[in-house]
Amino acid sequence: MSTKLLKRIGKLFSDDLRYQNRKKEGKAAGSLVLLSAFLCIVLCSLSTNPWFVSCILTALLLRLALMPPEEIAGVMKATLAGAALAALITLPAVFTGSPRTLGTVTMKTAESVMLLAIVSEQLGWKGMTSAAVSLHLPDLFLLTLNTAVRYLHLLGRFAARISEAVSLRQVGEKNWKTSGTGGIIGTTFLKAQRMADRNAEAMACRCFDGTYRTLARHSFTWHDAALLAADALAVVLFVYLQAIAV
Amino acid sequence: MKLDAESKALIQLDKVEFSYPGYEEKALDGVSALFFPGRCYTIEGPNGCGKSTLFRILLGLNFPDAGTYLFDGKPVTKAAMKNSRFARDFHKRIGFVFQDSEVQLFTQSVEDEIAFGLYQLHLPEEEIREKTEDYLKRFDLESVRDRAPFTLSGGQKRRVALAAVFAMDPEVIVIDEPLAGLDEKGQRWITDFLKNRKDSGHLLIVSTHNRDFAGVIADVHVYMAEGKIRRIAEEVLSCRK
Repeated sequence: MSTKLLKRIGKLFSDDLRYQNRKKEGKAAGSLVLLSAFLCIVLCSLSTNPWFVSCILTALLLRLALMPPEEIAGVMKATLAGAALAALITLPAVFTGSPRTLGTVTMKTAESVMLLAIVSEQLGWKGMTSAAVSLHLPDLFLLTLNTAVRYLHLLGRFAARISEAVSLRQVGEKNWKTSGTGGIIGTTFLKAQRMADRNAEAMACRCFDGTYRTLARHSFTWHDAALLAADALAVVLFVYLQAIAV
Repeated sequence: MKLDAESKALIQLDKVEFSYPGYEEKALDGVSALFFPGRCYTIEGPNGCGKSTLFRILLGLNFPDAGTYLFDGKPVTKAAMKNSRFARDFHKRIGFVFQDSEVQLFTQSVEDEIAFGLYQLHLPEEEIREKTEDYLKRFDLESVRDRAPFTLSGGQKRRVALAAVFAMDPEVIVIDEPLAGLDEKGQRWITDFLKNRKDSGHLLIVSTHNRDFAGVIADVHVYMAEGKIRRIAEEVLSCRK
């Protein structure tokens, strides 16, 4: 692994813009979005009628078409990657007498990945946490989730900066690739440990007793009503198409 | 006379000694001092003189190997801090702003950062919201309320860290190098802010290398070197005015 690769990984994690540009609160409630996504994925997994998955995929593509271009690109990248991987894994099924499996699994995978990517783009980090709070997930879970996201960002930024510093000093004939990489990983690890200690102390200094809440508040909007209607429609469609399939 | 002064001191250190595990030399060597409410103390001295260690002792993050540390007349010891009620009451009364604000900001948004400490105090939800709004306004953070604290600039992070600590309204505020990494505007803002807080009756203990800054805000200058307090100098208030 070269320092260039480490620098890219670091920059990937430290990409501020994903957090800075998110101002999407005030639409559908995060908890409702998460539950709807879960429902959709479960229905698609249970469905034996390919028309149902096709309908859901069509609805998702319609939703995707209403999103900004950079978000569409992000969702499509994840979807295509997931679908390609699923197709690759199920490819042997074509040669073992079950060619439909390839299409079914690939479509279901594409649907699930696309749905999760849209939810991720729509909610963002803060929305996810607020949704988790609404769903009464344990405080410890939320704290762990937030700390993990934050550390990915901070340590990613740290690693990217060290990589830059190392690459600036990569002069002459000596091969820095291996020694430089080891140094960066080691230093980042030590930094992480130090930050975790400081973090724990900061929390203790602010009387942390396990309570971890968020101030986000959401009132019922027409977005919520539309989402609930879509959920109901999906359930009706699922039942109808299953009945036809039987 | 001495006993009278001690009884009014909120923090009393008496011949405090401390060494870090694995090191023979003492990080603090016989430190004695009294800290009174409504005053600002600047702790000055070269790097490695024991300022940060003194702060860790004051905050109950480390404990003296010898000597005593009394906070409002009660000894702050490892055994006492194991009592969660004592530790909670103690930390409620003494706030700390780290030199590197980033390590003390751990929530997903600026408003949640301010509310974090208030939730720990188990205040009613409405009061938490009101206080959070109030401190967002006071610290001019309304425009970044939804932003993750670690995506802010250095000056904004420092303001968030201060707001998060001051919202809990502690009696004692310990600040490590408040001007570090700030531009001129940020430094001016912090200086004015700390002057105001001192006037409102808080006990401020501030470490700094900046003599000008210390001259502006300090009532008492504490000079440290090699783990010892070398000199305590009180400002002559009339001269400063």
